[in-house]
Parts: sequence; C-alpha cells; structure tokens
Amino acid sequence: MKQQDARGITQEILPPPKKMTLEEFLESDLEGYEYVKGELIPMPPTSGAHGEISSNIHWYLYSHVRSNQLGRLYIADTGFQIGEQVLMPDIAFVSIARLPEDRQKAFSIPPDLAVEVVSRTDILHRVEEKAFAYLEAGTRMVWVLKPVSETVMVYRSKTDIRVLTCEDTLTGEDVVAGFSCQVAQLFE
Amino acid sequence: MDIPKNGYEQAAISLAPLETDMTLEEFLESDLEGYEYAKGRLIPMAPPTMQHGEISMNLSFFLSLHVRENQLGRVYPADTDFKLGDRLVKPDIAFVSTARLPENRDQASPVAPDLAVEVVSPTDIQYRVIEKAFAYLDAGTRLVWVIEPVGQTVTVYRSRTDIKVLTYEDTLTGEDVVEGFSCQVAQLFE
Repeated sequence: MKQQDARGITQEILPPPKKMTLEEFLESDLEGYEYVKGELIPMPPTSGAHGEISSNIHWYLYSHVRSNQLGRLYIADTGFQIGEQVLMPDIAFVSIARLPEDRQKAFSIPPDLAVEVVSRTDILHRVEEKAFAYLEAGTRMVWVLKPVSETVMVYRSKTDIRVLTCEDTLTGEDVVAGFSCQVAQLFE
Repeated sequence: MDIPKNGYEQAAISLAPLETDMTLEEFLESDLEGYEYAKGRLIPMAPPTMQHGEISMNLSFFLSLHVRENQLGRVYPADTDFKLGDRLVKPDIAFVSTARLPENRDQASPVAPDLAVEVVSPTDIQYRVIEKAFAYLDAGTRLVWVIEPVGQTVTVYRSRTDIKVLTYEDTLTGEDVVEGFSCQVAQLFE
C-alpha cells in the first residue's frame, strides 16, 4: 500500500549514488544526470505541464534574444560547470560577450541567467541550493518558476530575492536587457 | 488496509501520501501519529531534524514572549491539529488570536490559525509546501511564514498575489496579525 504516487518520492527514484570526480564525469558519456559534490543526480522525466512552461519561457526569451542579438539560449540537457557541480538548467542564457569559443563540451562558465521550473518531485532545499550555487558561481540572475503558485522567484543575490505573482511582469533587468513578459503568460 | 501507525517512521521509507478511504473524523479518532490528512490521503511527516527544532524553538520563544505580554491570544507548538476544510494539518507553530479562540479546546482546532508557520525540512517537497501555504490562506489564515534554512529566508504569504521573501538582513514583523511583533530574520537561525 505504499507507492501509488511515484511522483511523490524522488528519493526512491534515485539509484545508490556512484562517486566520481568532476573530471571523470565531464569525460564520461553519461546523460541525464547532474553532478553535485561527487554524486550523480538523475534528472527525473518531466511532466507535460513542466514542458509547457519551459516551452513558453523559452519562446518569449528566444524571440527577444535573437532579434536583439544578445547571446544564446540553451535548453535543458545543456551542462554548465558551476563550481564543483555540473548543472542542467531548464533554460539558460549566455550573453554574446561571454560565449566561449569551444562549445563542443559542457560549459565551463555559468550562464548569465539560469531558469529552473519546479517539478512535482523537487525537494525545496535542493532548489534553493541550486539557485545559490548559480549565484556563487557568477550567474547574475536566477528565475525559479513555481507552477503550483504561478509565481516566479527572482534571485539576484542572497539578500535580493523577490516573488512575482500572476499580476506582475517579469523583466530581464540588466541581464537580458529589454526583455519583459507577464508572469501569467508563462503558466498559460 | 495496512497503514503504519507512525507517520514519522513511514516518512523514512517513503514520503508518498498513502491513499485511504478514511474520513477526517475517522482520522481524528484513530491512533495514527506523524501524519497530516488531506482528502483521504495520509501524508507522512518528515521527522524533524535538530536544526529544524532550533529554528522552531527560537521563533516560538520570541512569539510567545510577545503574545503573552500583550495578551494577544495563544501560540501553539507542532503537533497541534488544525482543521482546514477537509484537511488536517500540524503547523510547526501557530498563533490564534483571543477573539478567535474556540471555547472547547479539548479537540483539534476547528478554526484555522491567524498565523501559521512552517519550517522547511531537508526532505520537504516544494509543491507540497506551497499547496499547504495556500490551503491555510483558503481556510482563512491571514499570514503564513515559511522558514527556509538553506537560504536563511522567510517567505511571507498574505494572499496568492501578495508573497514576499525576507532575507537575513530583514526584519520579520507580525503586521496586522500579531500586532507589534518583530524580530530579525537572522535571529531565527542563530
């Protein structure tokens, strides 16, 4: 009678963590994992709702970034080396000035903007840890999209965190200059 | 149906809610421990860690001091049952104002607290924390504080469109709910 709801139990989806060094991980052919402090964290398959939201924000950002030639956008599955971790933001923006020449491997720089869409199984602590890890590595802005509350958490630093609700406008501030969209549009 | 009696022990195996056909009344009369109840589902509660206890203790102390001195109402610790519609929850800390205190207090509270506080545990799932915060608001709670130890922040919910994050540089206040109360966010994590 225990496990009718597999979505509620991330822990049980995780196989026993295998230890490897960051270098070994970067050279391996493993896919679908994030790497945190020696451990491989499998990325669970995401839901339809998650995909819709990612796709919305991607579409709005993409049209703006492309028409203004601000840089490049990356979708989930692109690895970024964030300190001792390799993370795969749902969406990432790297400005033109910071794009590395060799893009054949995982990025060794953090994105300018990292976007995470919270899934049904995400542990709250882990989401916060990730947001702070991006900031510490040099990411200038992190957006965490929360479908249940239809809110966006905007992290600029450990002491500058705001919540935008469905009545607010999300802007790119000085990171994706000129970008704006309604929060409500992201959850349509 | 075989439901483990102790929800804290169950949480160590799995945090997945257990589907039952129990009504809220049956749940209240049962001898189950360490579960919250939502629409027939039993939700195992994560066993609180030391850090969790320290934070709860700090805030309860500050709140109790203020509420007692000013005779504003009562402060309840974790494990006190509150009915929110067809849910039964156990906020880590709750405040009920004098005017709203039910006469019969020898039972689960039939009224939502004026203030509900949840301290996030390392295993808490983001979705459930938000759903709970909204369940409080829907049931009439006027202020919800969600304390997040990793970032040392407090998320303050007043309504679905009035949500703020306070960081360790900020001051937490009781607004119009626990009038006159304030403490530094940093003090909660000391």
